[in-house]
Amino acid sequence: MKYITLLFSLFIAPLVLLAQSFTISGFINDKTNGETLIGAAVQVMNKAVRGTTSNEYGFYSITLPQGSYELAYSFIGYQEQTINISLTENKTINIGLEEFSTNIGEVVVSASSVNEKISQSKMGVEKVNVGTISKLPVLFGEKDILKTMQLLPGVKSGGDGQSGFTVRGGSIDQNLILLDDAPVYNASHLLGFFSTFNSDAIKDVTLYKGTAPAQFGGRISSVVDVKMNEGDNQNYGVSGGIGLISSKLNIEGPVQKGKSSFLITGRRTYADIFLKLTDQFKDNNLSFYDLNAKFNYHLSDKDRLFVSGYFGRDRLGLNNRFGIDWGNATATLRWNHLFNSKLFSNTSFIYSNYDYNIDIQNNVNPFSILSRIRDWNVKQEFQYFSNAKNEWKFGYNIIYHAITPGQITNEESTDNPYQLRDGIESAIYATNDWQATDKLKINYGLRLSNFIVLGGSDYYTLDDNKNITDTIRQSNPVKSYLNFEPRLSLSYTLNKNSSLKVAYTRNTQNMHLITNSVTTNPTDKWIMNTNIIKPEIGDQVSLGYFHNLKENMFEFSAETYYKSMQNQIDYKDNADERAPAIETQLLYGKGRAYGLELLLKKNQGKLTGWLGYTLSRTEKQIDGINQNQWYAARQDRTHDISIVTMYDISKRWNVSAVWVYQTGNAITFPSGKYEVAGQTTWLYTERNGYRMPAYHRLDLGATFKLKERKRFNSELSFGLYNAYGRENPYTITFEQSDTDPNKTVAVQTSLFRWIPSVSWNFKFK
Amino acid sequence: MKKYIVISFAFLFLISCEKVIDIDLNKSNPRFVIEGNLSNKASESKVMISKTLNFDETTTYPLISGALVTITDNILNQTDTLDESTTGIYIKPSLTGIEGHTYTLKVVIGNEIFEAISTMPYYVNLDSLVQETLAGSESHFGPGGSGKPGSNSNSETSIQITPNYIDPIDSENYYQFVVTRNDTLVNDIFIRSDVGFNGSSSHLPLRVKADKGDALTIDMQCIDNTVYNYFFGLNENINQSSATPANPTSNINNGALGYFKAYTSQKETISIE
Repeated sequence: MKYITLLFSLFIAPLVLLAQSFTISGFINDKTNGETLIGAAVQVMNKAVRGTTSNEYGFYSITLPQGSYELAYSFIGYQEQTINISLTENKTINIGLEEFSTNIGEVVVSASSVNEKISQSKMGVEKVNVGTISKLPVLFGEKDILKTMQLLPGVKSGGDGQSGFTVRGGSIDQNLILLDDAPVYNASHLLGFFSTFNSDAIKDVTLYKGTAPAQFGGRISSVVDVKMNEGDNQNYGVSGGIGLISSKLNIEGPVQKGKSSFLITGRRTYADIFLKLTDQFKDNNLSFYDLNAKFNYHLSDKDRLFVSGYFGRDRLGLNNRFGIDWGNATATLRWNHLFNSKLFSNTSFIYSNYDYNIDIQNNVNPFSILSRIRDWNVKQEFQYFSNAKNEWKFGYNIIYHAITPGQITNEESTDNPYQLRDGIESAIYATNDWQATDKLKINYGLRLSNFIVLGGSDYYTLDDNKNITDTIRQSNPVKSYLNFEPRLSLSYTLNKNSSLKVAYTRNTQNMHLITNSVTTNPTDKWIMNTNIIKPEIGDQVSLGYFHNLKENMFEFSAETYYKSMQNQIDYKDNADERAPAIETQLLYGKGRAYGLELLLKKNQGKLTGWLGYTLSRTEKQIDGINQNQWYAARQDRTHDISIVTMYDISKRWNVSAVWVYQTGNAITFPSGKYEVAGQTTWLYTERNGYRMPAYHRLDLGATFKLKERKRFNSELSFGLYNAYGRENPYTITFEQSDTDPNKTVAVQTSLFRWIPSVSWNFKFK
Repeated sequence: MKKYIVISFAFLFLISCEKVIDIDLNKSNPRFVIEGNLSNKASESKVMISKTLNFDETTTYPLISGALVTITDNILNQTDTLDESTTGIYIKPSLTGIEGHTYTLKVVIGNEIFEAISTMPYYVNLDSLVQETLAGSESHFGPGGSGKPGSNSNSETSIQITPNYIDPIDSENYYQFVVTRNDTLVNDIFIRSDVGFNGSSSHLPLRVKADKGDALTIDMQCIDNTVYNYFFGLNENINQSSATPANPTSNINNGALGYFKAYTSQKETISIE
């Protein structure tokens, strides 16, 4: 026994002591304004373990064996900070990083965080840097995070006047756009010229091109995760901008210095005010405004409360007779709680609303049509930082969806010609980020999603010709759908500068937008699963090679993907968009999308920017369309090129240029004509058999910093949108020639050519 | 919708522009276009046969001569042959259809055979026509009007004609209103279905352009479901307003375009005040 005790004290006990681990955790934020930093790197120097990154609330946790360590904290655009610690117990270390004091907004990249793209396990992920956005030329001088995102490979804009964007061949409704966790159903203002995100209020944007980990779900093509700023918790500040078409103002400040803060930011266009002054257009209107607000409160060192909201509205009016207004409203209440240094919890209650209202004014019977989609949403997520090699996330999400389609209200009554729809979407998930070996990182997870179609409204049974044979009305749920969504991505580091990644993901989608195949409108219909409409399922495999050159000055990536989609929805030929039972107008089939995305980025130096190229194909096969053959989806674009350059001429001047080229959308054109009922009509031979002319455009921009004062600085930004005046088509229609009624011609409508802009942005401290 | 958007941008930025462009449209194989009309009134039944043209050809649609055209009453099992009165137009003045009967149109051109079936619904009485003059551009919004915004520059007035009739409750009913203004056919397609008002009286107006003193003739026709769907698609096609542009679904087989319509007819004429 004595020997055993001796043996124990000699060998086992030291092993146990050696194996004893402690946790370092805390928050990482910006030292000057207290904004938490998302994705800041914490590196353990000279050790095999790579370290960790801060989560979406700036929290990090890393567990290491007892010992002495040098930890380096870094973030893009910030000075790296290193600390030496002797780890003998659990430690809380909150770090404030300082921004590089060079040109405001200049992208300075520290070596340790820049090769995140090489080292992280996820692929198909793009971070849009808010600093980059402020330099790029944009329409009407309004910098725009979603517009900048559309310059990345795999992400395509719909074209002038088209709201929405498509990712890897998905349609515009297959993108989950989250603003502080609240789904945003229509992310554009002014029919796509602006996004709903006021970049002054945005902290971070992450785009997952169909490869999102299991905590995200509900859309099959992408996730755009937008996080709002929290507001300066050190000083009050006012900033804003005055432009030709819109102005904005941002106010932020501490509630409890160093702990709690608020932020309010708003924008408004004022073209409508000028229109009122003109005789010709005084009854017309086209405008928008939006408001972001956020408040965060430090309940204790372990508890934080966030309240954030967004409200935006667009209005389009003609002759005081016809008006549409539409917009989103979201509200999020979040509670962060630290159970202990390894277990982080976030609970969110979210409300989200999108509606549009059409007003028809006439003397006989003025009426309005309201369509609305509302979500009530509860999200619970736990993050467990089990050790330096494993991070777990698990949680659940329950959403109650309610759709009011086309409710007609006049002076006397309210009428619902369409069925109200309600559904419950819920999911549970678990995902693990695992540093399997020194070179191999694995993220795997599973999401189990369920959709319950609630009763209480009419559901239909259809025959093969899409005629209603039976109508069902019951209070019990009508149908329930259950889907397993496995997610896996592997990253293998080849060497310091390059890595290879492979991923497989399955996503499902229960909410669908039915779009007209010609143009996108704010009035496009959102529908949910029914007994007939099934969840869309997307499976994507992707493979990528990532390589950084010249000390991370250049970043190169090549990614390929193949995506197969089930239960895709399209209108049948000659669809009646106003049919009372929309199911009678829809056809279902499958889709496939594949492509190659190349990106070369220069991150440092006077000249920065990127070159992106996408080669892709997107097709659908739906019985009942084009003799059941595969056909090009509307968003199928063979080539897509974007060149983005920013150049710092001096400390005060910088200039930028953006050039984009895209193959035109697939579209249905007539191939002949004939006469029936006394009128010339068009002969169609196939759906989407033609192409719109290619879309290309050059934008130029310049920013001039005015003299800086102690508490005030400002800059002027100039822009020229569509610099060489390319007439990009909005629509093409066919009509009889005005000059010769016997001839038929194609008429192209373009929305605009050169658009110059100037705006003045300021900041009070 | 898209028209409104274009207009709004035009006034907001004063920069939207339209131009005629060249598009290389494919040649299409010529197809036959058959318009078959069978009325319950004498001398109204007529079948017209023509052909499609390529998009860039001048608009004189070739009429098809020498076809064999027959209409069979499937209940009485009686077949009538129509005679070619002028090129491409086939008639038989004595031929009238009977309410509730189903008819088969058969057209033989060379060695191609096209057939279509249509049922003549039961007659619904047009009780009255009410006219109302609309001010300004009201006619451009709302159902029925095909008016394009901004095209109200001419001197004609918008007239609203309301046909009053009581929809039978025991059947699905579809209606077409063919409007003639001073003996000229008005191109707008006015169709109605009783979805949403089955069994009640209809007061849905038709909106047309007319001048004071014009004679407007409204032909209220009861048509079957397939014919209604055809004209619905045709109307979207002509206005280029469809979500998914395509040829209207025809009740004629073998790839012919057009329709075969067995209908009841009631014509009423009013003078615009």
